[in-house]
Amino acid sequence: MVACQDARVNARRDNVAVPPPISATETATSGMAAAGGYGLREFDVDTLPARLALRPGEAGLGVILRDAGRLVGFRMLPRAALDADGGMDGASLVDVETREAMAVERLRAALTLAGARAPSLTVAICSKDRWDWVDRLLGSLEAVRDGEPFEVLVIDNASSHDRIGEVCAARGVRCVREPLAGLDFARNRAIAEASGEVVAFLDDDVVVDRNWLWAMRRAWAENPDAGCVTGLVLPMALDTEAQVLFELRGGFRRGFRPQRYGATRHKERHYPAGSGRFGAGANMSLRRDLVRALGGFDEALDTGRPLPGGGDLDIFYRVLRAGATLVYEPQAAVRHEHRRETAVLARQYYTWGLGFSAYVVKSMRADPDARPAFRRLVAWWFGYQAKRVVGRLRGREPTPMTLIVGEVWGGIVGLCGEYDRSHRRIAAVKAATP
Amino acid sequence: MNRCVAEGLAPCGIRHVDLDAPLEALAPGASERAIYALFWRGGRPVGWRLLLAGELPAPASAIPAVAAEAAGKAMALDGSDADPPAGPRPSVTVVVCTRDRPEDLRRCLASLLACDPAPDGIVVVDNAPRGRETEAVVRLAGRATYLLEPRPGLSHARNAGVRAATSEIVAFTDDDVEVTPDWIARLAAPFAEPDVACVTGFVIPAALETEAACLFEFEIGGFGHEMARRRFDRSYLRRGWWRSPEVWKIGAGANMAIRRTAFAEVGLFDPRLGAGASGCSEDSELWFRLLRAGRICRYDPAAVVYHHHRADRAALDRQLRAYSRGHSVALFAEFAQDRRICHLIRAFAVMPYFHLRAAVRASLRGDRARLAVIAPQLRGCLEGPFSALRWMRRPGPPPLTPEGDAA
Repeated sequence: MVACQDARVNARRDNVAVPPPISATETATSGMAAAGGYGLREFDVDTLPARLALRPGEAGLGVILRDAGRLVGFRMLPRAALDADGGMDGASLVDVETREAMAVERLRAALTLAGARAPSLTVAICSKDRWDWVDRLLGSLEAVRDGEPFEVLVIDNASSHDRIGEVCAARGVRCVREPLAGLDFARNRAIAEASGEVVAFLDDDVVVDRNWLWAMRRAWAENPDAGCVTGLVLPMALDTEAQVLFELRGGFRRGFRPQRYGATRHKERHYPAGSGRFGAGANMSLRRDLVRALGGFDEALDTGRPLPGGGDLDIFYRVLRAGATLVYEPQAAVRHEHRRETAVLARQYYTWGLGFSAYVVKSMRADPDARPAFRRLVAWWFGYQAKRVVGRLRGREPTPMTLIVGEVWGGIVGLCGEYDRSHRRIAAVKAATP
Repeated sequence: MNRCVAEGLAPCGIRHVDLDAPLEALAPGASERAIYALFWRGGRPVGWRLLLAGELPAPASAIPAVAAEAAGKAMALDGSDADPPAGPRPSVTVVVCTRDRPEDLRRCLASLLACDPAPDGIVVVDNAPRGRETEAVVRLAGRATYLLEPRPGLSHARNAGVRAATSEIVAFTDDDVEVTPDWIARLAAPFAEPDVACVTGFVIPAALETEAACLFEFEIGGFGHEMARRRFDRSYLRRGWWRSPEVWKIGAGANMAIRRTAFAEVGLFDPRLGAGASGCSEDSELWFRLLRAGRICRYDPAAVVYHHHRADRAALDRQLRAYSRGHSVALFAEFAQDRRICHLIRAFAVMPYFHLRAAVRASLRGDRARLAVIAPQLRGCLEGPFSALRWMRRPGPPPLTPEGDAA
């Protein structure tokens, strides 16, 4: 924890005490950055330090940059990118991407119209067992609370104990139990229970950034035709090699520039089929009535093991195909606790491949018009993975070969009937749950 | 799905969004299938975005984020390149070369006469005309000088215009262009820096109602969409030994001004290049000579003209083929000057390779729009070396002397 203290201030766990956290294996490592971990720092571009240096034990730096509070950049700086003394000039942190994001945010601030009304908001947190993370997230939400009320709804997804309920009671937050195990069962429950016009879904392994609520509201106010707003996902910590690897590959980041996506877009191949670019399920908000009209989340995706992904890709795609607008708002950011162990990360790569191709199979079935686009998308995806394999062999790709191969294998398994297997599994879950 | 994207664009509306005024929603007109939104701030264009029907209408409240995103690049660079220093405005003569397009010329002259400040002179060069209509249009417009250049070729016509001009600055535009009222002022301002020999500006499509115009603007990239000021000096010519300097990126001949003394230094336009001869690139070859001589070229997007793109596909095909062929011949002309192998590598290998690769890719992807613009370019660049065999035997750029090169 020492290495990344300055970035984790609002991420500290409260002492909810007694039983050890279920997610202990995920979070409760000693606190020192393990070998291969990066330091994570945050600076304002106006008060950059003259010199930036590695602390003992750090293999590199992750730097978050702000301009007048707005998020404008993120840099991953491996040891090789630093000078001989393991440091660099603070001023050279500001790269082209950051300068452009600063210009964008300054112009936005100068242009923004007053008086647009934001729809009412429900923040929905779906969690299974991980009460300590839920508590941490609820704490971060309390810190950003402004005058305007919003609902917080926790969905306890078939937990094996009642800790989540207790945490919610202590925080004065509504908690609903969903007995069917599976993230999309829980999300659909949230859509059914929410009172807000907009439901903002947050994964339990995130905390919200200080501007999250304000920026999320602004995005909805600016885009009354939006069906979905996604936000930036930054790392909470880079303590382990697994966390660094994930972020070096791009993490869940989708850039620092706002985007407004419609049903079509000029000169974009695979649009909107390649829906990974729109955001991540860890930080997305959706118009409640639109999701209801679309028939909710696909319960056969995001079921937890063995298919814990694809539900976000699917809902982004369906929102755009329904003719609604999808907005990416980098200022509505969360900090995500990446998996600490490489073994867990390897599993995650496999499930990304699996979730992606399950989403492809499902969409080709549900949306026959789009089949050629999805075929091209799959061809592109395998080509892209082949390039990564070649890149790895030449030493240019940071991701280890086993992870790349795992993701490809997940993709192949996914194309070979995983979606149907998942359907049979959830039918069994439904039959088994009274 | 959105296959063959550019083919579905026409008719495409054009909206000028002034970010200094109250913002309004962007909505397509009855028949419009897309909107080309151009964002202006402080009287200059700062960003653009093509919005397809599926992205429209965009409510007024959504415009700030869309505009800011589009303008980010230009705004980020702004300030690193300050306004040109104020000084006494140099005298400017505008040279318009035309050939049998009286209607276009009438529109062009009307826009030039509306300029404030007005140019010190307008010279219309009638290039190897078939009739006398052009002369009649010029006489009717008044305040413009009519000049006949019987030898066909844009370079001959422009050279005749330069010889007739007596001002410090010679500005060039084409007959299919309309200029903005502050064009003269914006184009002349950077000349306050004494080393600046050439200033180019931004070319905006006047209309995108036809498929051909949309293809030219969005598949070819029009005359460039750069919204940040740029400064080019001799170092711009230095690239890897195999890479030809990208002088064509400096601007467009339809919107440029050149200091008259620079012609005395490096010679006039090369009559082997340009429309009517090998096809194109007489402008970029002159920039190449200027940079080699150590002079400065500046691009300032605040100097804006509107260009009427070719409206039919056959004319577009001919134009693209001529562009590609002329570009190739210009590479030979550049090689003749500095004997650097990179120009020949580009003419013989790089251009054919990239066009061929683009054609194969476009066929594989079923991207008919891309294929439609690549095919004539591929043809043009393969013809280039043969065309060069023919043209390079002729004399190169004449000097700026009063008697001219009428040999």
